[in-house]
Amino acid sequence: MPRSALYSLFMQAPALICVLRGPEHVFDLVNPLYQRLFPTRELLGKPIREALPELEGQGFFELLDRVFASGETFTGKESPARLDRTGTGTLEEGYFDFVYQPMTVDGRIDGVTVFGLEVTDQVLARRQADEFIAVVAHELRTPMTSILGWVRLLRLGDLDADTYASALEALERSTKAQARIIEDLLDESRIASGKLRLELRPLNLGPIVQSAVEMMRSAAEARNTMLVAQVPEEPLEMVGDPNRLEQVIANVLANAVKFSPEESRVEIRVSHAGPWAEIEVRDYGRGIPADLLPYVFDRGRQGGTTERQGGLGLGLAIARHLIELQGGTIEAASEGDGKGATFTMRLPLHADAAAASFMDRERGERAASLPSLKGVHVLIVEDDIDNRKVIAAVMERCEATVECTTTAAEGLRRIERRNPDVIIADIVLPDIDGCAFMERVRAAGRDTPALALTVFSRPREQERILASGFNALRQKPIEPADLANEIARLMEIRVT
Amino acid sequence: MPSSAPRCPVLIAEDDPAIRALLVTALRRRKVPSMTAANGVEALQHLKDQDWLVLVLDLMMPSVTGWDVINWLAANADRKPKTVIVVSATDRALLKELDPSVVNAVIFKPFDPMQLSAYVKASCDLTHSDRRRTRIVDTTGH
Repeated sequence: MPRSALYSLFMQAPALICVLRGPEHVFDLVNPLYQRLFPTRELLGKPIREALPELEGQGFFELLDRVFASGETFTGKESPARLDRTGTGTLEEGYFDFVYQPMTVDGRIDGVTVFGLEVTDQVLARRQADEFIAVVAHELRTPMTSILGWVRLLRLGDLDADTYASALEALERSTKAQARIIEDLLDESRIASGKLRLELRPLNLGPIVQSAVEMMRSAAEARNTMLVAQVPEEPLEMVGDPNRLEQVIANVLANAVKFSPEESRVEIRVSHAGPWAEIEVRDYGRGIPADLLPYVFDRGRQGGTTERQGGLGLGLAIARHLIELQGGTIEAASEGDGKGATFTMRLPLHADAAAASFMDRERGERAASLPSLKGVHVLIVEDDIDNRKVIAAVMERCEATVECTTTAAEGLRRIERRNPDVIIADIVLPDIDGCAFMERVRAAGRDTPALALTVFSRPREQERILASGFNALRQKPIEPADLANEIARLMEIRVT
Repeated sequence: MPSSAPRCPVLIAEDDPAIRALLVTALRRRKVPSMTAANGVEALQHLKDQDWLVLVLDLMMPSVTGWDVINWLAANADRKPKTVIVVSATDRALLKELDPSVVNAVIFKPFDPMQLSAYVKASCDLTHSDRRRTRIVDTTGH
């Protein structure tokens, strides 16, 4: 290998490398990655003690002296080093894996080669993970203390009726608290890996809010906090995941209860605000200082940085994620210390708003991943108006031409008139079963690709649907991007 | 001035209502009357208002924490109960050293309420000078 090739190998190496010569460790060669640690300083030709004086007292010079004198290699793992990276005199801590390798010329030690990798990010990430695990352990122990303790007292067998009842209540509450922690941990992990899936369906918000309030009632009562709910009687219809919505509302309520003084009051008010349903949760606790407001939805943030209030600090981060996935927004407001806080959630009402906001999100986040269905003629056979609107909106967003019908009979007539490029059909239709519909399409000699949307999940049911002539089947509710990709896939299969 | 013979010898400062009720019940079974504070602010008020033989103190409480209460007791030694027992859910290894002039014992969660109440009852009967050093009492049996 020519010398110039070796040199470029050295200069382009994905590691920090330098060669120090002589007993004074004079910089003889420095590769760009090493130089980047000290961008403002000239290193070449200078002894290391002169070039990097801030390392004095951190042990590195002594190690170099030893390697030079003994000829023995030294390997450092995750060694902390305080470096003046900016040349301003400010020392920053970094972590490095490195090797000091003695260099021998004619059997004599001539210098030391330094190979290093900066591992600061990894070390800090692991430290954060360790701290998080400590918090999780702490949070699981609190309900566990209550569970084990009450079981111990119950075993004594002579508690009076009132104490007995409150023991059972405490057991239930503590077990639920632990379950909540575990769910939050799993959600956090699903969010981090992008695997959180919603089960979207048309719903009425009112009963979901009521159920979240009931869920939190015993936790509030344990703190003598009054939970006051104001929910309008008119239905608030939207498309969303009812379980996840209940979870979010319960989470925000739990947060309000937690930060309220005992014998206080937490209010939840649901209202209509144009195309939105608005849920407002108000507490009279200590409030949120203005400088912390922008961070309340960040993972691991709570009332302050030095003081913890119990909980994993994940609840609000998860809440925001879930709300945004459903096309909504969540905001926090507080007039400051001691003035309480208000959390306002807005969710799009009706399918139009939901679809539009899904589409906004798709545009913003992963527009590139939505396939183009330009020129594709889609027939949608679905009797549920909200589902139909969402499917149509997704297809239109992919630039497909959409035709909608609500019954199998009308669907068959439309196909007769103009054969679509692809059919999306519900299985439960008002006139005949979706499978019977598809059998008739196939019997008429049409091989139009068809996707079945179904709430059925049993394998036998799936077999029945595919046997009737559908090319694919997806469980309802289907996420917009999945739906679009599935249709694009069906179109491709037909082309090839 | 606060009275020197407390009517109610034990103060429990704990923000978790279930654990608070648990401690009260366990002590009542041993005929030890107790009062509770749901946070550090209430705890400080009770400590100012009357003398206590024993304080059972949770560390992680909102706004005024157990650590704040310990610091206050260090600065106001005449208000210190005879025995201060810290209960903590933090890892043994992670728990920073607590002021030994204030804290007499540390008990880790989860604890056995009957053993803790036995320890509290025994502490009520002991004199002040007997217990100065911090010790770790393991009531979990491991």
